Amino acid sequence: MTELRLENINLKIGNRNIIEDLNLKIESKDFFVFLGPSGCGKTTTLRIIAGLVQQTSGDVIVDGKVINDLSPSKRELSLVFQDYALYPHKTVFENIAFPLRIARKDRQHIIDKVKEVSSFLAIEHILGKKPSNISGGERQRVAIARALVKNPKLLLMDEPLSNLDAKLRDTVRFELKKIHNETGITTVYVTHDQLEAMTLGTKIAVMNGGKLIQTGTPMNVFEEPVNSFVASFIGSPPMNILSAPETLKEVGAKSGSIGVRPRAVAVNHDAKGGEFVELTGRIEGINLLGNEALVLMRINGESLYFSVRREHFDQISEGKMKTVYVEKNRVYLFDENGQASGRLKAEDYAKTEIFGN
Amino acid sequence: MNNIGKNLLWYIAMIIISIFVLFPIYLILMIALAPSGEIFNSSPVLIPSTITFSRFFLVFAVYDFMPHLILSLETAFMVSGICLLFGIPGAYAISKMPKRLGYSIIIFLFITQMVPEIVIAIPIAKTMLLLGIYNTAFGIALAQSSIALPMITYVLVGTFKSVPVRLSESAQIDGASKLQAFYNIDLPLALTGIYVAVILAWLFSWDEFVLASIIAPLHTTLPVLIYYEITRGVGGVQAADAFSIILIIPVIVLVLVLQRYLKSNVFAGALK
Repeated sequence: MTELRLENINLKIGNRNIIEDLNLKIESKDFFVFLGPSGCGKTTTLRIIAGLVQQTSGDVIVDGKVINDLSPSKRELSLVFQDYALYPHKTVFENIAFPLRIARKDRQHIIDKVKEVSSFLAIEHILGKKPSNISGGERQRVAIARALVKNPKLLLMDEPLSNLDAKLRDTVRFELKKIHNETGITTVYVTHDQLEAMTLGTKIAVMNGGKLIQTGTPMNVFEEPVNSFVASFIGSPPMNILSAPETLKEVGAKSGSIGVRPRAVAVNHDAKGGEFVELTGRIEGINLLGNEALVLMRINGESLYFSVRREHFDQISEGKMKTVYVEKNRVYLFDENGQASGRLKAEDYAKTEIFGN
Repeated sequence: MNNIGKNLLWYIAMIIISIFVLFPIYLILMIALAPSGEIFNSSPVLIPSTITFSRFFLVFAVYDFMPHLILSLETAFMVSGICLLFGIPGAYAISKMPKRLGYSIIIFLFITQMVPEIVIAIPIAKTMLLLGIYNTAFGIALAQSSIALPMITYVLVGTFKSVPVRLSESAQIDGASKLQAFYNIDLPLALTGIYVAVILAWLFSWDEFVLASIIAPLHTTLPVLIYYEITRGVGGVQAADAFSIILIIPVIVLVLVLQRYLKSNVFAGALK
């Protein structure tokens, strides 16, 4: 039941602006994901919320109370570090019990709470071991258990999956979602992986260069990116950003570039033929992924990536010219500064031959 | 080269180093145990014809030896204590400072070592006379700490810097104050370095000569006593040699007791 607001947060180190004028509101029970490339300020923002870094100006507000001057120990929140930061000289039990011991809870309460949270995370069998004797996945769970044991107001997570191997990452991702659903703790999660952001987040905040670029639900950010940066950061494979054809000026669009999602490109001209635009180029590379292939095509010196489903594998071959079809209403427009300016509409196509080959 | 060859080379190297370190100690032991007639030859006694403990009895019977041993022990433990008491907080603070500031402070600490000990010993002795701690264990310990403390602090700064700052941060997130984080996390994880610091401080005091000889010239420590005996001539040299053996024993005990704590992998499992 905790709501977090950041108001006009700025962080300057020397002359460098690390965080610039950050404003956002995280609602109770949100799973809020900060997404951005490394060095964009997302981890720093998390550390400001935790109180490990002091902002130059602005307020961190929890449930209407400004907590700028509270030390990390007084903020009643938990943080799962990227590298887990387990106490190597303590057993797993004592690691998990540490927040309760510091809070001087009585013995029985500590034992009960540690048992409860460790059975929830299925780590009861390793309570007696030292962190050096358990696997990476188990360390991760111990770190989460330690974060949950004191029933924090806020759960902060800093790229908690980045040190796990790919297979384990998939499993833990589902578990994190489950933990959030069952505890309902307001969670703030930092990642550079758009897949984690899309699958875990109830809301996503995309950051770049210390600034908040866009906030919204995952689908909202995916469907309506505010600029070409967000468009090319979200989605796998990311959106193709191509320079806009000259002819676009004729329809009055102030276009610097156009964006096409790889899955909006079809190799087959099916029944809905009228709603597609034709593009022709040479296929330069094919990555087979089992049920799908990622294809790189060169069109007028630019790269277009798109996916091809298995049943159409026979239609693509490296080095050959190929015509592909783009859904007309899924072509995004970006102005010369990269800001989104809507999508191409049916009437635009009527005015002129936009993609005339 | 195969593994067996590598191991063989390794063992040969270890044997050479061990002989280099242990042979002088062996010689001192042989001199202490050999009959008087065999000591003053042009070549050292490698294997004495008979073994005699008479010199050790002489040391205990003729010399009033125990008070000197006790004084040496008292002083060495006091120096270790003083160095830990001031070295741990000082080093922890320096380890958390910005690099340039911390570095400057360490350089500043070592300024005390730029003046030869014999030069500062005399004003120190005069001050101690005024304070009434001249000729006491505490007086010697205080003077020796002025040399040992910068060294110990330097060792401990390195130790505290090796404890990942993330662990202390994590403890603070878990609700610990900075002091609690230090006490519960940094201090236990720095124990290896602290044991090393204890050994260094203890050994420094145990061997120290210049300050001890000026601050406690009459009732003095073992190294100074050995020096006095050597300067006395033939009989003195024999006693000095027995003293040397006694001087080595506590060092071996200390290192044996603490070495089981000197493990290097204390941080395993902390990060990642």
